[in-house]
Amino acid sequence: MEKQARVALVGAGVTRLGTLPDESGAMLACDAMLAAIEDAGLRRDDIGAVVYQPGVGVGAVGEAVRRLGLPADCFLELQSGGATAIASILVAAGILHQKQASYVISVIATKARSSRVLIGQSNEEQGHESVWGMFSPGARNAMRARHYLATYALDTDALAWPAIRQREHANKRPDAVFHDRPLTLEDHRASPWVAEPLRRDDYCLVNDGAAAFVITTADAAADLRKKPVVVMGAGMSHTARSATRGSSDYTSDLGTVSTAARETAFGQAGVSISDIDVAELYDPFSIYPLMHLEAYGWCGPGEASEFIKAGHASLGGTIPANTHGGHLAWGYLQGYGPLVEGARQLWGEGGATQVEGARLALVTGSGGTQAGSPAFANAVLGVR
Amino acid sequence: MTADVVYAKPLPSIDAVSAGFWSAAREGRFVLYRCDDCGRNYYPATLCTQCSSNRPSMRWVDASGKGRLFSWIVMHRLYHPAFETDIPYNIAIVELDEGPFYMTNLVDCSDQELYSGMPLEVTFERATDDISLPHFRPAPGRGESQ
Repeated sequence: MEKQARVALVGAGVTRLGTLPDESGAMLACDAMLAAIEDAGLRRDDIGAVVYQPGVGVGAVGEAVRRLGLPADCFLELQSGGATAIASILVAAGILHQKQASYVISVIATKARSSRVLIGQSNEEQGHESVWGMFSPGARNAMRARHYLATYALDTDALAWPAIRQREHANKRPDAVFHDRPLTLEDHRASPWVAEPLRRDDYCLVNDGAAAFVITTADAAADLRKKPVVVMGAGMSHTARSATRGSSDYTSDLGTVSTAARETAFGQAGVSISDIDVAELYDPFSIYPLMHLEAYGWCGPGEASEFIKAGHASLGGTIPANTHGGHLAWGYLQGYGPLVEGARQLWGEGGATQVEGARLALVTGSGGTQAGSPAFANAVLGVR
Repeated sequence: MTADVVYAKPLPSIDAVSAGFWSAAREGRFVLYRCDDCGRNYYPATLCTQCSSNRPSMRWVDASGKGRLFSWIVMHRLYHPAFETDIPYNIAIVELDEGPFYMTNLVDCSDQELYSGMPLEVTFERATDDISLPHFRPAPGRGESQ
């Protein structure tokens, strides 16, 4: 963001993740917001605005705000899929600079697990593609994965390595859903096809839970309990801009799709990709970490799986990525998972997967707004 | 598939513009949405996104119905009951000779023989009295993958 307009994350909260049938979406959202407010050292009365992403199987956030007794006058629902968490920072910056609130809270709650929704089942969600039996985000990403594997003459073991290495991170993190479940190459090879070439182990977790974070201006953040995690740059782009040949939105070329977003974020931040200490890369499916590492230039086209296999995206590697295990192993809270982990790394709260001395984090998000037409968002976070 | 068998899979939702595509398909013609100002072809219908004209002149015109396989998947998980007997079934993206990409199902071939760049051609399946679906099948004699 432009320097004079910078905002900062000052607190975050995440509930337990997993199968939580007895906790409603409102209860989960309430718990996450309360944890974030306490983490920031603020009181409920301080929160003047709420930006809410409705997750899967959860209703409007009104009940959560009422339960919490938040005096928020400014109250928005925002939906751009996995790009929403970062998009909510842009919205919050507007709210703060227009003096609608001094502190904004951004929150997601999901009941994806216990509502037993089969994501992508409805025709409305898929539009015309349902004619061909094309259902679910997994199928769309399988199309990207096939194109990627065919382009670089790779087999599906290439998809295994992001899942395996991220599981190693999750196995060190008690807060991860898969903290006690290792994954081997043999396990991955035996994992059943869902939308071939994607296997079950290439899919993100389906869990219940909620996350929230508090944002304020960089100036106001300096007076609070925690070290401000400053949003140095944030930007979005959309495939509709780069792909105009219909289903070419299924390309695995995230480099082109993300160009505008990358240039905006890094331009504002005044840093380069090689300055980044830790990366939290949106990973709804195992193909995504590969596409990301190549899009940002950490490795060449078609090389990302070997890069990950060699440990270059693990702790101690060139660019430690998805340090909590990501959506594949920590839990799925859409873009809020990577964003909160990026902030926690800069606060030094990464526990057994803390990147020592991390000062700059890259966080990404990507979200389908309608069939095969995703928005992409990224943010550069920094601490002094 | 004959018209006296009830077609249970989702059908395209048709608006005033896409109606031109589906009425051509019913006649066995594969058409694309062309900008008369600059000649670019589109599917699905949009305004011309490349042309400098604010009000490009767009219309459906006959296309070759030929292209090459860009990407494909095989669905093993059932999301809609009407596809139950098809599982596992393929879904493909064809890069049409005219430029646009077209999603479809491939017929007259096995999923094992698919490869990137495979030459393909359109063939129509009558789903209902009003709707014929453009499927694609291997096109003989168009050479191997580049």
